[in-house]
Amino acid sequence: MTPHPPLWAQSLAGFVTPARHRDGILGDLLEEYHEVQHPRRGEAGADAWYVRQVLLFLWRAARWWGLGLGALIVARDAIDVYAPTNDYHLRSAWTTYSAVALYSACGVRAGWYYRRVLSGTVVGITSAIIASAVSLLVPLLFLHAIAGRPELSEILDVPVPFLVLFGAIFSSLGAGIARGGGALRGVTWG
Amino acid sequence: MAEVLGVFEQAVLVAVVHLGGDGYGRTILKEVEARLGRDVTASAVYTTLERLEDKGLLASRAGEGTPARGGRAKRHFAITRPGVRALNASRAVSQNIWRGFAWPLKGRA
Repeated sequence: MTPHPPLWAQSLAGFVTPARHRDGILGDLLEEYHEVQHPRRGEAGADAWYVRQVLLFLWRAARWWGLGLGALIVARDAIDVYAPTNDYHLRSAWTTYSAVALYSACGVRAGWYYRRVLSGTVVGITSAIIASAVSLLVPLLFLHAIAGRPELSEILDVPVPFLVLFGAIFSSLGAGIARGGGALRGVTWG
Repeated sequence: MAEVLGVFEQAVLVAVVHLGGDGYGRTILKEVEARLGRDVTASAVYTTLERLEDKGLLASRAGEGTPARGGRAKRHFAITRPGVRALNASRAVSQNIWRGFAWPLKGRA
């Protein structure tokens, strides 16, 4: 039986490789898997190599969006710590609308570039995971400032599932908008 | 004046020239690794190939598929005239920067 990389990884690769070169890239990865990696490393090693390649494509697709959103959350945390206020509603609204704009733009860009609506969803979810990691790790540097101020305790309580759900919804919407724009211009989608 | 390229872009373009128009993603990646003397990721090479093609410095054509590729076509890359000009300009800038120095550079600190 011919060995093959994990099917989920092959599917994921189809969502994070540019439409114009998708066949070439996926074919190259498969050729390298069969001709070099599998004979050299065995099935588990070759599978790990393939998954790593796909994750690097995913990272490249989502990193700036995720880091941007993470920076937004951290900036909001820093403002709350160093410039406290009695009314956080305005800040919350500003953070929320900015995140919606970022996720939507991420979805439009990913949907258009990869020519798939689900690419928007995948990149949006990955961006949310990166942003969650950033916004969980960076506040640890502020621990000395947060200690003893219970009103700021939620800084360390990052709502990861909410961020991911939020990312999936708005980046999918963005990718849908890109698809609509593509349809108006007669662009073929995958 | 032709565009001056970054080191990675130059490595990719030189690899394409070296492979003589038959190079495709995988062979270009291995040639770039050999020239830079380090591992490079597939995503970095393909992103650069696409960017250079968008700038008009490379042209690509679909090739044949094989069973090892799951029947997927290769994409062959070749340098264009603007690509040659950009490589020459980048080489000239590099030589200009080093003009007046003996190689290898001796430390003066």
